[in-house]
Amino acid sequence: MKWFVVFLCQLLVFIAADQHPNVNGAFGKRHTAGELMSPSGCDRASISPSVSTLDLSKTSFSNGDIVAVTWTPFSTVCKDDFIAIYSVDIPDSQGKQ
Amino acid sequence: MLNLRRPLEFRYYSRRPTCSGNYTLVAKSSVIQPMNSNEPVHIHIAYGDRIDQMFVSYLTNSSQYTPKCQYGLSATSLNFETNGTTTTYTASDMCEGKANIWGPQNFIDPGHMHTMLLEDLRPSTTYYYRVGTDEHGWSNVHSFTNRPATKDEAIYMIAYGDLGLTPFEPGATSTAERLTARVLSTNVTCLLHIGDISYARGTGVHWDAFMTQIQPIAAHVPYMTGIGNHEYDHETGGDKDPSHAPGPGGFRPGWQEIIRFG
Repeated sequence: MKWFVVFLCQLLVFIAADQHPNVNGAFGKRHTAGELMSPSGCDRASISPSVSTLDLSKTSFSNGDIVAVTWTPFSTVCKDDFIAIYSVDIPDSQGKQ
Repeated sequence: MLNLRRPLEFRYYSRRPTCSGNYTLVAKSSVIQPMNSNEPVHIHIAYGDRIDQMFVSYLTNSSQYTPKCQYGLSATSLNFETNGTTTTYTASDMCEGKANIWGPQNFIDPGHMHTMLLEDLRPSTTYYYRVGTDEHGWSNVHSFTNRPATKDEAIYMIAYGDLGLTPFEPGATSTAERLTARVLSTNVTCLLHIGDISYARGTGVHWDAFMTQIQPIAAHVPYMTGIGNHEYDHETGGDKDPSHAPGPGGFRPGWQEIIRFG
């Protein structure tokens, strides 16, 4: 029973430590999700840490108006990037189909 | 921007940095919406059965008020007013998918279509008009010239088929721009679109885009349409086909065979 309690404590400490790698890294430095090395080979850099803003020339319009969309360029782009218009009730995760 | 009668937003999706795998939302805009969701849009006119008649139609997001058309012989004196009727339809009125399936790339709420019938119009006479209501607002003033009194008079008619929308039909925008310039600069009597109109193929928003595309033309000259195979062929749901085309399940002629042998 004593060994089980010790094991359980160690397990809890291990789990607790794994939940906070992003607060202070191995050397006390804060990391973004994209900077973390993945122990399992997954591409954590693909997890967008934040969503940038697309600026609009106007936010209300009449039918047929031209609206300009501008944004701060990203450091990397892909040829199949796209911008599209969505009804606001469509979840972000369903917009890439 | 199309007035789709609802709030919208722009989104930027990317597969960066590896340009493979799943898309991720990387940027989005604030909400953008119509100044007036009941703004009169899709304004178009069409001949009635008699020479002295003209149908005037438009679309809003509401059936709350009686639609009206004010018209007259000068842009500043719209002395006549006539009331219209309103109708709409829903997904279950359509024959088959994807037209009868709700979704942003399928069936969307089409709004409410209003139609007024102008009567006692003089032949070969230019009328000015606007549509709307006091409650929801009025359109800009448009004009049309009624047809001649007799069939012996010369007319100028433009006829075409297979217009559609850019980028799906690449030449559509430039064609529509040339048509607009022509009808605004020349005394065109009417226009005949013989079929294959928007190529929406069940994507409702394409009709909004198409009707917006043709409004500068169709608000000025009667836009008369025929139906092509892209407007009426179906394999199921034929009981909802208002043309009552023959066939137990629907009506889809062998268009490929016509193309192959025709």
